[in-house]
Amino acid sequence: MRASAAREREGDVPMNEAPAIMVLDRNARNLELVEDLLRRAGYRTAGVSDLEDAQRLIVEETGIAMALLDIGGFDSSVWQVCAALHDKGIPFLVVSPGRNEAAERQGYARGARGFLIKPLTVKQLLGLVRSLLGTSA
Amino acid sequence: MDKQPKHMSTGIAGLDEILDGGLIPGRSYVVRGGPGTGKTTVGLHFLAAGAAAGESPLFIALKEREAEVRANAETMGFDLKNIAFLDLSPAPEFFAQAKSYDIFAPSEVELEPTTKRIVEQIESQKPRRVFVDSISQFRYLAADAYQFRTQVLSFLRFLIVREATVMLASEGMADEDLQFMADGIIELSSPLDERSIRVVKFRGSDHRGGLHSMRITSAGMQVYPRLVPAEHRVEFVLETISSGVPELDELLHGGLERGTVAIITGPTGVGKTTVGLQFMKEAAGRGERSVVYSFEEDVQVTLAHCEGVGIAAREMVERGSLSLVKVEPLRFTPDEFALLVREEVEAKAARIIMLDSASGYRLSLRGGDIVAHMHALAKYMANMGVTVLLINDVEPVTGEFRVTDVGISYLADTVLFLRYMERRSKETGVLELGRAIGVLKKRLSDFDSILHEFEITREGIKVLPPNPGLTAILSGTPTYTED
Repeated sequence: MRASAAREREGDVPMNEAPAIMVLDRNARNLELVEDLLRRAGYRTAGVSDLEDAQRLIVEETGIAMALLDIGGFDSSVWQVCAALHDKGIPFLVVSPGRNEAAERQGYARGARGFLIKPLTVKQLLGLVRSLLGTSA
Repeated sequence: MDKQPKHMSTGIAGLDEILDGGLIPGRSYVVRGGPGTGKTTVGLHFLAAGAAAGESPLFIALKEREAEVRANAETMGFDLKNIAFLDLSPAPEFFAQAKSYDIFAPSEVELEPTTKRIVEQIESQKPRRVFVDSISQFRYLAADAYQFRTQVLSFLRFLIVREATVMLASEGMADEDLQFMADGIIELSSPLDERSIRVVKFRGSDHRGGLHSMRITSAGMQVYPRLVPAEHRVEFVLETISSGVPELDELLHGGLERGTVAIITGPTGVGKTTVGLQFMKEAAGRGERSVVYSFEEDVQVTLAHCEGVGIAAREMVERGSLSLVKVEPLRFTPDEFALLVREEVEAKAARIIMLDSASGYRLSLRGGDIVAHMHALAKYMANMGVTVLLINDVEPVTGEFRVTDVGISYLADTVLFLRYMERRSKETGVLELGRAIGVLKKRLSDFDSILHEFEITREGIKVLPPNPGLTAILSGTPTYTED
């Protein structure tokens, strides 16, 4: 069994009690930058870089309030993650490396709240997160 | 009236001259130019001058690493120990550890940490001179042109409020908007591979416009300001100097005046240089210094030649009354050559200067528009009271008369012409080659309009009494007929 797990941030409050944002990105630096940004804005984050960890997090954790999925570098199995989030009623945003009509359709078909094209701006991302979650508790 | 602000040295003497003393403190300047034109070198001179003046200079490196900049600077002899460095250049780890990202644009990610480091450095060091190499990198930290402009403007203000003088290296025309923000722009270029420097804009002070020659050597950058004759003038006595040959003086109604240009023209070998050297021999007797710039003949040849006509050139050289200089072909630009001449005139008090020859000057110096430079140089020398002897080779050796080939006769106050002539020897009846001398033009006095025969003897030039039998002077080869 793989030992990888979502990385916890900000200390004492256990993951399954406070609302958190799940971030999926294959690129480690992307993940770092997004998590830093969200944490500085007062949110909790759980970062994953492969689909298995993403699925596990969805199943095991109860505190996930929304998800941000960078589909860059993943194959079509990423839509199963979307379906899983949709089933659990967790709102999510899809981030894509470029314009991709097919991906856009897939995303919206599984309930995506938005389809964003990289690079994002900080304002844009925070604005959308706030509209989905309200400001941080 | 406000006192003129004291100018701040750039560390390059010729550049300070062009800027009327140097940069104005507390302002911002852009040094722009393509790759390899010398922007970093200008920055290093600027900071080194600051270090020498105790002004706590700062080098902000955005392109090359600090270690590279220091290494390059040391090969040019810069002492960098009092110059602070802020190294913001890309770290090798960026590539090696695949730290690239695409989720946000670089302008969103890099600007804040970069700005933070700059602010910290400046607030702790309080530099009075700052050089940014190069500001073009900042463009990639800005999301768009408006943001770039705003960032640069506020960066400049941040520095200037702290009494720093700022120099930004810019990589060329893509940074057009910078020219509106800076107080001055210095442009480096190398058209036709001739390094040049130009001050495009300089708010708050005069500056000398146009292109100036520039060189980068193992000692750093040297700038040779374009010679502007009108800026140089001394009071001198408008006297006539003698050639030491009475008949020649008579031809010229006394001799040649100081502060005038004389063209000595004629075919090769006829004796033009010898005529000029007579004036110099006489001047040496007065304790005055003369200089011959030869573009064709080696110094040893000239020395031997002088000996053959009774001019003790070697002694004159030893005593400092004469300097014979062979100018290496294609070694100097006209501005660099002018600097040599200026040193002779201003530091060594040379009073007669010969350029041998005008076409040699044209062919030996590098760059464009040589005739204009020669004009400026001649005017400068005249303004400084020097008697200028311009030797002009005319082809063909015999035949139709032509004053000058290079279109410089307008420069002359005096034109002395020498020609070959055929004469039939009275005694032997054999056709011989003789020489003739005459004055064609003399602005400042009357002159003898008769053509005279002359000889070159072991004692120098000997002008013979006028011969009424000499005809066909201007239309062909002068012929002597017995009547």
